[in-house]
Amino acid sequence: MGNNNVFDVREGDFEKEVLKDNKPVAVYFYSDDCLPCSAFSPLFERLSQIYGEKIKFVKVCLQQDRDLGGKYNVRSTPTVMFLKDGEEVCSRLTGYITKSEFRESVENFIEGKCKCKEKSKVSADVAVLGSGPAGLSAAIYTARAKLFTVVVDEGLSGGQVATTYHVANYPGTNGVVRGLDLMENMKKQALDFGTTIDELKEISQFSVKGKYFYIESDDTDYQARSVIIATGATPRKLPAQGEAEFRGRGVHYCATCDGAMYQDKDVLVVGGGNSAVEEAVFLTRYVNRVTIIHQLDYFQAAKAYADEALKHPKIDVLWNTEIRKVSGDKFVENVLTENIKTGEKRDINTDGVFVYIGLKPRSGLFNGILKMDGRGYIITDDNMQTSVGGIYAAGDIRKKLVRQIGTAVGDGITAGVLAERFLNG
Amino acid sequence: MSIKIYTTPTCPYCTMAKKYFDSKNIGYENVDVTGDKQAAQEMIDKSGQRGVPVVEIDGNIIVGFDKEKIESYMK
Repeated sequence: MGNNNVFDVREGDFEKEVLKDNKPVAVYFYSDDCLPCSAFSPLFERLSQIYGEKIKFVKVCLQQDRDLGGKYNVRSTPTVMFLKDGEEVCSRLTGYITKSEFRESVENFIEGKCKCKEKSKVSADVAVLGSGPAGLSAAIYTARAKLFTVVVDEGLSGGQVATTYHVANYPGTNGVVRGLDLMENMKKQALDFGTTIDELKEISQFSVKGKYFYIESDDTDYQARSVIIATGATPRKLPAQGEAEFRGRGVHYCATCDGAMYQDKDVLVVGGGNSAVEEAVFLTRYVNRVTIIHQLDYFQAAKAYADEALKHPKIDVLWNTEIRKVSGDKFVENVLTENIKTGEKRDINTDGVFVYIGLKPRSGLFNGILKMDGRGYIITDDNMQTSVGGIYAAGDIRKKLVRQIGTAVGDGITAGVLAERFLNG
Repeated sequence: MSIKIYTTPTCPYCTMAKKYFDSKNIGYENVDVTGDKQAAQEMIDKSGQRGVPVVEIDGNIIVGFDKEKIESYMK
């Protein structure tokens, strides 16, 4: 090699060699065993021979200097960032960086054409949208297949499972695993195989151009050769008068979050599926009494959950009943219910209403691009393939019958394997 | 800048809010409202509602984990 235009720098020398250097610096974070890095390293050296007089070219091994990477929030390799007088300028480059892209960035950097706060660009083999069990399972498979995989999530990773207190039915766990812990494990596994997880990115646009898929978020634009959609679903809002007015002031959608605010109070739980009865049981640890309001005369929940709720001394059930109106002064004080069989209306005093009446798919970004059913669930074949080649859907976002953590994991794995086959032919 | 977060231990969005500040190396005071009726009432009075988390940045109240609002108050 013997290329003295590229400086190998360790954390201890970073201040002297980079931050205090008079020249502008391009810093390249790399790691061994990273395919896009082995493609990019020769380009970096090549350009250092051309532009080495004007700017300094520095290499940092991320595996050896994780703390340094952490300081600059470098989570994947390759990442190139540009510094002038110790301050980062221009946008970063990550993923598969082409020579023309890199040359353009270097020239703009030298000419001082780019200011801070430009969007970063990431180019990946596989972009996974959503980091619940489906998204992370897909990423575990594609990253392990050495595909450069980026998981993008609007919140923090974990999906709906992270808001579930106990997960009783996921195979291989002890039956009392906490949702948050289960998802932390999946996340760690995905990261260990080399996945990049970008949290807190609000996706504003999804488009298809030729063989590439483009995902725009507030501060980063992604380009990918294959996309796995695992954006899941959000809770359906209570269709009753006063819902919006009292949301957070007595109407809640997350018992694990807000249940503790109802110490020794009386609350209602609306719904009859697994979530409704499970969360009703969870709430009994805080509240005085839970009344489940359900529109049918039986629970759709699995028998084990249903029986636990039915036998619980703190839980009663009002069958065939729906809530029509929520009212109160500053906070919810009572609800108007209607028995849908007899038409009988009743006022019930309560301190809070926890709503678990099903889900709404988060598929708005793909309207007009992918085939969906009337409710917005994405239609796939048995192999998670959507109506557009290279785009797969997995987990709750798919049109299917059983939405469980286990089925989401299965979908994610299938989508991951198929995306790999799609890319590697 | 003074930051206070009202939380409950089982609430994932509270964990997200705390992690967000941790990731930016910004210090905050965590107020667990579980079983602390006085703190819970203080949170309800300040925010006019009962959902957690509630983030308070220099007297500004943000309900829920709303990254954009948080960032707008930190500028």
